[in-house]
Amino acid sequence: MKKVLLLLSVFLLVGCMDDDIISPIDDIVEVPESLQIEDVQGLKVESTIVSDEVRMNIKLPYTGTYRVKIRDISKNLVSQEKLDANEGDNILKVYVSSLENNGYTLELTDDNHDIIGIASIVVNN
Amino acid sequence: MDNVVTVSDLALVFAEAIGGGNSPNGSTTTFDYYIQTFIANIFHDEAFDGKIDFQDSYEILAYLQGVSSDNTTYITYKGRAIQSGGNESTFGTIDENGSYFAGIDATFKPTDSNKSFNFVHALMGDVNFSHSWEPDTEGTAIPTSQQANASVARMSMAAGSKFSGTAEEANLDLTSELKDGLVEFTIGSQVEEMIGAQFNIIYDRTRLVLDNVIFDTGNTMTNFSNHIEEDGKINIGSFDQNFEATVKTGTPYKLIFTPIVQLQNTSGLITFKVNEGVKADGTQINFIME
Repeated sequence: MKKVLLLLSVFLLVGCMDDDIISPIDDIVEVPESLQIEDVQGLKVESTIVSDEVRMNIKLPYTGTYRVKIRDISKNLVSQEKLDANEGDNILKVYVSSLENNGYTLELTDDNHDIIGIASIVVNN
Repeated sequence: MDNVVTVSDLALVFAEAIGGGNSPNGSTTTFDYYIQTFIANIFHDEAFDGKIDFQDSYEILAYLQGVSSDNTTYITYKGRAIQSGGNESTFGTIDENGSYFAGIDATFKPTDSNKSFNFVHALMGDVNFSHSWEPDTEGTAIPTSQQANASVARMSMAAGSKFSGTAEEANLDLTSELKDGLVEFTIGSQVEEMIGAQFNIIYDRTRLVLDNVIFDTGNTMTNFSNHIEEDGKINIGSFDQNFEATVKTGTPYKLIFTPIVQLQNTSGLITFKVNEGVKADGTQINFIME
Protein backbone atom coordinates (compact mmCIF):
# COMPACT_ATOMS: atom_id res chain seq x y z
CA MET A 1 0.00 0.00 0.00
CA LYS A 2 2.88 2.32 0.88
CA LYS A 3 4.42 1.66 -2.53
CA VAL A 4 1.14 2.53 -4.27
CA LEU A 5 0.86 5.80 -2.32
CA LEU A 6 4.48 6.69 -3.10
CA LEU A 7 3.94 6.06 -6.80
CA LEU A 8 0.73 8.14 -6.73
CA SER A 9 2.61 11.00 -5.01
CA VAL A 10 5.27 10.97 -7.72
CA PHE A 11 2.62 11.14 -10.44
CA LEU A 12 0.85 14.03 -8.63
CA LEU A 13 4.16 15.88 -8.18
CA VAL A 14 5.02 15.59 -11.87
CA GLY A 15 1.47 16.58 -12.84
CA CYS A 16 1.67 19.79 -10.78
CA MET A 17 5.01 20.95 -12.19
CA ASP A 18 4.99 24.36 -13.86
CA ASP A 19 4.96 24.13 -17.69
CA ASP A 20 7.72 26.75 -17.84
CA ILE A 21 10.14 24.29 -16.35
CA ILE A 22 9.52 21.94 -19.26
CA SER A 23 9.43 24.55 -22.02
CA PRO A 24 13.20 25.04 -22.52
CA ILE A 25 13.34 21.43 -23.69
CA ASP A 26 10.78 22.36 -26.40
CA ASP A 27 13.02 25.22 -27.58
CA ILE A 28 15.86 22.93 -28.44
CA VAL A 29 15.95 22.80 -32.22
CA GLU A 30 16.81 19.52 -33.79
CA VAL A 31 19.18 20.40 -36.60
CA PRO A 32 19.50 17.89 -39.44
CA GLU A 33 23.07 17.05 -40.35
CA SER A 34 22.67 18.75 -43.73
CA LEU A 35 21.89 22.05 -42.01
CA GLN A 36 24.41 22.02 -39.19
CA ILE A 37 26.63 25.09 -38.92
CA GLU A 38 29.87 24.82 -36.96
CA ASP A 39 30.40 28.55 -36.50
CA VAL A 40 28.50 30.55 -33.93
CA GLN A 41 26.50 32.21 -36.69
CA GLY A 42 25.72 31.71 -40.37
CA LEU A 43 23.31 30.64 -43.06
CA LYS A 44 23.00 27.25 -44.70
CA VAL A 45 20.51 25.80 -47.19
CA GLU A 46 19.70 22.11 -47.46
CA SER A 47 20.12 21.98 -51.23
CA THR A 48 21.59 24.29 -53.84
CA ILE A 49 19.24 23.29 -56.66
CA VAL A 50 15.77 24.26 -55.52
CA SER A 51 12.27 23.83 -56.80
CA ASP A 52 9.26 25.11 -54.85
CA GLU A 53 10.94 25.34 -51.44
CA VAL A 54 14.06 24.49 -49.48
CA ARG A 55 14.90 24.37 -45.79
CA MET A 56 17.52 26.71 -44.41
CA ASN A 57 19.21 27.17 -41.08
CA ILE A 58 19.90 30.65 -39.83
CA LYS A 59 22.22 30.44 -36.83
CA LEU A 60 22.18 33.66 -34.85
CA PRO A 61 24.47 35.20 -32.24
CA TYR A 62 21.59 36.61 -30.22
CA THR A 63 17.80 36.82 -30.20
CA GLY A 64 16.56 39.76 -32.25
CA THR A 65 15.33 41.11 -35.57
CA TYR A 66 17.04 39.90 -38.74
CA ARG A 67 16.57 40.04 -42.50
CA VAL A 68 16.78 37.31 -45.14
CA LYS A 69 17.45 38.86 -48.55
CA ILE A 70 17.33 37.27 -51.99
CA ARG A 71 19.46 38.87 -54.71
CA ASP A 72 19.54 38.01 -58.40
CA ILE A 73 22.74 37.46 -60.37
CA SER A 74 23.08 41.22 -60.88
CA LYS A 75 23.00 41.66 -57.08
CA ASN A 76 19.62 43.39 -57.25
CA LEU A 77 17.40 42.75 -54.26
CA VAL A 78 14.31 40.84 -55.42
CA SER A 79 12.85 39.70 -52.10
CA GLN A 80 13.35 40.46 -48.44
CA GLU A 81 11.93 39.05 -45.22
CA LYS A 82 12.16 40.69 -41.83
CA LEU A 83 11.80 38.31 -38.91
CA ASP A 84 12.32 37.95 -35.19
CA ALA A 85 14.41 34.89 -34.40
CA ASN A 86 16.10 33.23 -31.46
CA GLU A 87 19.76 32.88 -30.60
CA GLY A 88 21.21 29.71 -32.10
CA ASP A 89 19.74 27.54 -34.83
CA ASN A 90 16.47 28.46 -36.54
CA ILE A 91 15.19 26.06 -39.18
CA LEU A 92 13.11 27.99 -41.70
CA LYS A 93 12.17 27.77 -45.38
CA VAL A 94 12.83 29.67 -48.58
CA TYR A 95 9.97 29.57 -51.07
CA VAL A 96 10.97 29.94 -54.71
CA SER A 97 7.77 29.46 -56.73
CA SER A 98 7.52 33.17 -57.51
CA LEU A 99 11.17 33.40 -58.59
CA GLU A 100 12.25 32.92 -62.18
CA ASN A 101 14.62 30.04 -62.93
CA ASN A 102 18.07 31.48 -62.31
CA GLY A 103 20.85 31.73 -59.78
CA TYR A 104 20.29 33.72 -56.59
CA THR A 105 22.21 34.69 -53.48
CA LEU A 106 20.64 34.45 -50.03
CA GLU A 107 21.91 36.94 -47.49
CA LEU A 108 21.29 36.84 -43.77
CA THR A 109 21.79 40.26 -42.19
CA ASP A 110 20.95 41.93 -38.93
CA ASP A 111 18.42 44.75 -38.95
CA ASN A 112 21.22 47.22 -39.81
CA HIS A 113 22.01 45.28 -43.00
CA ASP A 114 25.31 43.90 -41.69
CA ILE A 115 25.86 40.51 -43.30
CA ILE A 116 25.94 37.43 -41.05
CA GLY A 117 25.84 34.69 -43.66
CA ILE A 118 25.56 34.04 -47.38
CA ALA A 119 24.41 31.06 -49.46
CA SER A 120 23.71 30.43 -53.12
CA ILE A 121 20.76 28.69 -54.72
CA VAL A 122 19.75 27.83 -58.26
CA VAL A 123 16.03 27.93 -58.84
CA ASN A 124 14.70 25.23 -61.12
CA ASN A 125 10.93 25.33 -60.85
CA MET B 1 6.13 42.71 -71.20
CA ASP B 2 4.03 43.78 -68.21
CA ASN B 3 6.97 45.95 -67.13
CA VAL B 4 7.28 47.95 -70.35
CA VAL B 5 4.69 50.69 -69.73
CA THR B 6 5.00 52.21 -66.28
CA VAL B 7 4.32 55.36 -64.30
CA SER B 8 7.41 57.03 -65.82
CA ASP B 9 5.90 56.69 -69.29
CA LEU B 10 2.62 58.00 -67.94
CA ALA B 11 4.37 61.10 -66.57
CA LEU B 12 5.99 61.84 -69.92
CA VAL B 13 2.71 61.47 -71.82
CA PHE B 14 0.80 63.62 -69.30
CA ALA B 15 3.47 66.30 -69.57
CA GLU B 16 3.26 66.27 -73.34
CA ALA B 17 -0.53 66.42 -73.24
CA ILE B 18 -0.41 69.39 -70.86
CA GLY B 19 2.37 71.32 -72.39
CA GLY B 20 3.33 70.20 -75.86
CA GLY B 21 0.86 68.07 -77.72
CA ASN B 22 2.03 69.10 -81.12
CA SER B 23 2.78 67.18 -84.25
CA PRO B 24 6.41 66.35 -84.99
CA ASN B 25 7.03 69.61 -86.79
CA GLY B 26 4.80 71.58 -84.45
CA SER B 27 5.89 74.56 -82.42
CA THR B 28 6.67 72.95 -79.08
CA THR B 29 7.00 69.55 -77.46
CA THR B 30 8.37 68.14 -74.23
CA PHE B 31 9.86 65.14 -76.00
CA ASP B 32 13.50 64.67 -76.97
CA TYR B 33 12.94 62.53 -80.05
CA TYR B 34 10.44 62.52 -82.90
CA ILE B 35 9.74 58.83 -82.40
CA GLN B 36 8.40 59.50 -78.88
CA THR B 37 5.29 61.05 -80.39
CA PHE B 38 4.76 57.86 -82.36
CA ILE B 39 5.29 55.65 -79.30
CA ALA B 40 3.13 57.82 -77.02
CA ASN B 41 0.24 57.95 -79.46
CA ILE B 42 -1.43 54.89 -78.00
CA PHE B 43 -4.97 56.11 -78.74
CA HIS B 44 -5.75 57.05 -82.31
CA ASP B 45 -8.62 59.44 -82.94
CA GLU B 46 -8.13 58.51 -86.55
CA ALA B 47 -5.51 56.45 -88.32
CA PHE B 48 -2.30 57.51 -86.60
CA ASP B 49 -3.13 61.13 -85.82
CA GLY B 50 0.20 62.01 -84.20
CA LYS B 51 -1.60 64.01 -81.50
CA ILE B 52 -0.63 63.43 -77.89
CA ASP B 53 -3.53 64.52 -75.74
CA PHE B 54 -5.22 63.58 -72.48
CA GLN B 55 -6.92 60.65 -74.14
CA ASP B 56 -3.49 59.01 -74.54
CA SER B 57 -2.48 59.73 -70.95
CA TYR B 58 -5.78 58.59 -69.43
CA GLU B 59 -5.65 55.37 -71.43
CA ILE B 60 -2.22 54.64 -69.92
CA LEU B 61 -3.48 55.55 -66.44
CA ALA B 62 -6.46 53.21 -66.95
CA TYR B 63 -4.09 50.45 -68.04
CA LEU B 64 -1.93 50.91 -64.92
CA GLN B 65 -5.08 50.84 -62.78
CA GLY B 66 -6.19 47.60 -64.42
CA VAL B 67 -9.31 49.26 -65.79
CA SER B 68 -10.48 47.81 -69.09
CA SER B 69 -10.94 50.40 -71.80
CA ASP B 70 -13.53 50.12 -74.54
CA ASN B 71 -11.17 51.96 -76.84
CA THR B 72 -8.61 50.29 -79.01
CA THR B 73 -5.23 51.29 -77.69
CA TYR B 74 -1.70 50.48 -78.65
CA ILE B 75 -0.22 49.67 -75.25
CA THR B 76 2.35 46.93 -74.96
CA TYR B 77 1.80 44.33 -72.28
CA LYS B 78 2.20 40.58 -71.73
CA GLY B 79 0.92 38.69 -74.73
CA ARG B 80 0.58 41.90 -76.75
CA ALA B 81 3.90 43.30 -77.85
CA ILE B 82 3.12 46.11 -80.25
CA GLN B 83 6.35 47.13 -81.78
CA SER B 84 7.79 48.94 -84.70
CA GLY B 85 11.25 48.46 -86.03
CA GLY B 86 13.56 49.19 -88.89
CA ASN B 87 17.04 50.06 -90.00
CA GLU B 88 19.00 51.89 -87.33
CA SER B 89 20.19 54.41 -89.89
CA THR B 90 16.68 55.74 -90.57
CA PHE B 91 14.47 54.57 -87.71
CA GLY B 92 13.13 57.51 -85.75
CA THR B 93 13.69 60.12 -88.44
CA ILE B 94 10.90 62.04 -90.15
CA ASP B 95 10.44 63.19 -93.72
CA GLU B 96 9.71 66.74 -94.92
CA ASN B 97 6.01 66.24 -94.13
CA GLY B 98 6.75 65.21 -90.57
CA SER B 99 5.87 61.57 -91.20
CA TYR B 100 7.55 58.88 -89.11
CA PHE B 101 6.75 56.14 -91.53
CA ALA B 102 9.46 57.05 -93.97
CA GLY B 103 12.01 56.16 -91.30
CA ILE B 104 10.40 52.84 -90.44
CA ASP B 105 12.05 50.90 -93.19
CA ALA B 106 13.15 47.32 -92.75
CA THR B 107 14.41 46.71 -96.27
CA PHE B 108 18.13 46.34 -96.86
CA LYS B 109 20.36 45.55 -99.78
CA PRO B 110 23.68 43.86 -99.10
CA THR B 111 26.53 44.84 -101.35
CA ASP B 112 30.11 43.65 -101.64
CA SER B 113 31.24 46.45 -99.37
CA ASN B 114 28.27 46.49 -96.98
CA LYS B 115 27.04 43.23 -95.57
CA SER B 116 26.20 44.28 -92.04
CA PHE B 117 22.96 46.00 -91.01
CA ASN B 118 21.66 47.02 -87.62
CA PHE B 119 17.98 46.80 -86.84
CA VAL B 120 16.28 48.51 -83.93
CA HIS B 121 12.82 48.52 -82.41
CA ALA B 122 10.44 50.45 -80.19
CA LEU B 123 7.50 49.18 -78.17
CA MET B 124 4.29 51.20 -78.16
CA GLY B 125 3.76 53.05 -74.89
CA ASP B 126 7.42 52.76 -73.92
CA VAL B 127 7.96 56.50 -74.16
CA ASN B 128 11.02 56.50 -71.89
CA PHE B 129 12.77 53.77 -73.93
CA SER B 130 13.13 51.45 -70.94
CA HIS B 131 12.65 48.44 -73.24
CA SER B 132 13.19 50.10 -76.62
CA TRP B 133 16.06 51.48 -78.60
CA GLU B 134 16.83 55.06 -77.67
CA PRO B 135 17.68 56.95 -80.85
CA ASP B 136 21.22 58.17 -81.24
CA THR B 137 21.47 58.72 -84.96
CA GLU B 138 21.30 61.90 -86.99
CA GLY B 139 17.86 63.37 -87.59
CA THR B 140 16.15 61.60 -84.69
CA ALA B 141 16.44 64.27 -81.98
CA ILE B 142 14.05 67.20 -81.79
CA PRO B 143 15.93 70.51 -81.87
CA THR B 144 16.01 72.27 -78.50
CA SER B 145 14.27 75.26 -80.08
CA GLN B 146 11.17 73.12 -80.56
CA GLN B 147 11.13 71.83 -77.00
CA ALA B 148 8.74 73.48 -74.59
CA ASN B 149 10.06 75.31 -71.56
CA ALA B 150 8.19 75.40 -68.30
CA SER B 151 6.74 78.88 -68.64
CA VAL B 152 5.47 78.35 -72.17
CA ALA B 153 4.03 74.95 -71.51
CA ARG B 154 2.47 75.77 -68.12
CA MET B 155 3.85 72.67 -66.54
CA SER B 156 6.85 71.61 -64.60
CA MET B 157 8.18 68.73 -66.67
CA ALA B 158 11.63 69.66 -67.80
CA ALA B 159 12.04 69.86 -71.52
CA GLY B 160 14.02 66.95 -72.77
CA SER B 161 13.24 64.57 -69.92
CA LYS B 162 13.95 61.01 -70.82
CA PHE B 163 14.68 57.65 -69.35
CA SER B 164 18.44 57.45 -69.26
CA GLY B 165 21.11 59.79 -68.09
CA THR B 166 19.05 61.79 -65.64
CA ALA B 167 17.85 59.11 -63.26
CA GLU B 168 18.31 59.70 -59.56
CA GLU B 169 18.74 57.00 -56.97
CA ALA B 170 16.95 56.70 -53.64
CA ASN B 171 16.67 54.16 -50.87
CA LEU B 172 13.55 52.18 -50.10
CA ASP B 173 12.77 49.39 -47.67
CA LEU B 174 10.57 46.60 -49.05
CA THR B 175 9.98 43.76 -46.60
CA SER B 176 7.62 40.89 -45.96
CA GLU B 177 6.85 39.83 -42.42
CA LEU B 178 4.67 37.29 -40.65
CA LYS B 179 2.42 39.19 -38.22
CA ASP B 180 -0.46 37.75 -36.23
CA GLY B 181 -0.90 34.93 -38.71
CA LEU B 182 -0.97 37.25 -41.73
CA VAL B 183 1.78 38.13 -44.17
CA GLU B 184 2.40 41.87 -44.41
CA PHE B 185 4.39 43.35 -47.27
CA THR B 186 5.37 46.94 -46.59
CA ILE B 187 7.05 49.56 -48.76
CA GLY B 188 8.86 52.07 -46.59
CA SER B 189 9.96 55.28 -48.29
CA GLN B 190 11.79 58.40 -47.23
CA VAL B 191 11.88 59.68 -50.81
CA GLU B 192 10.59 63.23 -51.14
CA GLU B 193 9.35 65.19 -54.18
CA MET B 194 8.04 62.05 -55.87
CA ILE B 195 4.89 62.75 -57.91
CA GLY B 196 4.60 59.18 -59.15
CA ALA B 197 5.71 55.71 -58.09
CA GLN B 198 5.14 52.16 -59.23
CA PHE B 199 5.93 48.73 -57.82
CA ASN B 200 5.29 45.47 -59.68
CA ILE B 201 5.00 42.70 -57.14
CA ILE B 202 4.75 38.95 -57.63
CA TYR B 203 3.52 36.67 -54.86
CA ASP B 204 3.28 32.91 -54.37
CA ARG B 205 -0.38 32.35 -55.11
CA THR B 206 -0.15 28.70 -54.07
CA ARG B 207 0.49 29.83 -50.51
CA LEU B 208 -0.96 33.35 -50.24
CA VAL B 209 -4.24 35.11 -50.96
CA LEU B 210 -4.22 38.89 -51.29
CA ASP B 211 -6.59 40.39 -48.74
CA ASN B 212 -6.02 44.11 -48.81
CA VAL B 213 -3.99 46.95 -50.26
CA ILE B 214 -3.51 49.88 -47.92
CA PHE B 215 -2.45 53.24 -49.35
CA ASP B 216 -1.12 56.02 -47.17
CA THR B 217 0.25 58.23 -49.92
CA GLY B 218 -1.44 61.52 -49.07
CA ASN B 219 -4.90 62.88 -49.72
CA THR B 220 -4.52 64.11 -53.27
CA MET B 221 -2.61 61.33 -54.97
CA THR B 222 -4.31 59.11 -57.54
CA ASN B 223 -3.48 55.58 -56.41
CA PHE B 224 -3.69 52.51 -58.57
CA SER B 225 -3.52 48.79 -58.06
CA ASN B 226 -3.83 46.23 -60.80
CA HIS B 227 -4.23 42.71 -59.42
CA ILE B 228 -3.70 39.92 -61.95
CA GLU B 229 -4.77 37.07 -59.69
CA GLU B 230 -4.16 34.19 -62.10
CA ASP B 231 -0.50 35.23 -62.38
CA GLY B 232 -0.04 36.17 -58.71
CA LYS B 233 0.89 39.71 -59.72
CA ILE B 234 -0.06 43.06 -58.36
CA ASN B 235 1.09 46.42 -59.69
CA ILE B 236 0.58 49.28 -57.27
CA GLY B 237 1.50 52.92 -57.37
CA SER B 238 0.45 56.54 -57.37
CA PHE B 239 0.51 59.50 -59.70
CA ASP B 240 -0.46 63.15 -59.41
CA GLN B 241 -1.54 64.36 -62.81
CA ASN B 242 -1.15 67.98 -61.72
CA PHE B 243 2.55 67.36 -61.01
CA GLU B 244 2.13 69.03 -57.60
CA ALA B 245 1.30 66.54 -54.83
CA THR B 246 4.00 64.13 -53.74
CA VAL B 247 3.89 60.61 -52.34
CA LYS B 248 3.91 60.75 -48.53
CA THR B 249 6.99 59.37 -46.85
CA GLY B 250 6.75 56.62 -44.21
CA THR B 251 4.85 53.51 -45.29
CA PRO B 252 2.86 54.66 -48.32
CA TYR B 253 1.98 51.12 -49.43
CA LYS B 254 1.11 47.97 -47.52
CA LEU B 255 -0.22 44.65 -48.84
CA ILE B 256 -1.91 42.13 -46.53
CA PHE B 257 -1.99 38.45 -47.47
CA THR B 258 -3.66 35.48 -45.79
CA PRO B 259 -1.61 32.28 -45.88
CA ILE B 260 -3.47 29.25 -47.19
CA VAL B 261 -0.81 26.88 -45.84
CA GLN B 262 0.98 26.85 -42.51
CA LEU B 263 3.97 29.20 -42.61
CA GLN B 264 6.83 29.73 -40.23
CA ASN B 265 8.42 32.51 -42.25
CA THR B 266 7.99 34.37 -45.55
CA SER B 267 11.33 34.28 -47.41
CA GLY B 268 10.77 34.32 -51.17
CA LEU B 269 6.98 34.41 -50.99
CA ILE B 270 6.85 37.97 -52.31
CA THR B 271 9.23 39.31 -54.96
CA PHE B 272 9.46 42.67 -56.66
CA LYS B 273 10.51 43.67 -60.15
CA VAL B 274 9.69 47.17 -61.30
CA ASN B 275 10.32 49.76 -58.65
CA GLU B 276 10.47 53.27 -59.97
CA GLY B 277 9.44 56.78 -59.20
CA VAL B 278 9.29 60.05 -61.04
CA LYS B 279 9.76 63.63 -59.91
CA ALA B 280 7.83 66.68 -61.08
CA ASP B 281 10.60 67.69 -63.49
CA GLY B 282 10.44 64.28 -65.16
CA THR B 283 13.53 62.88 -63.51
CA GLN B 284 13.17 59.16 -63.06
CA ILE B 285 14.05 57.83 -59.62
CA ASN B 286 15.68 54.43 -59.60
CA PHE B 287 15.09 52.91 -56.22
CA ILE B 288 17.95 51.15 -54.48
CA MET B 289 17.23 48.47 -51.96
CA GLU B 290 19.98 47.59 -49.51
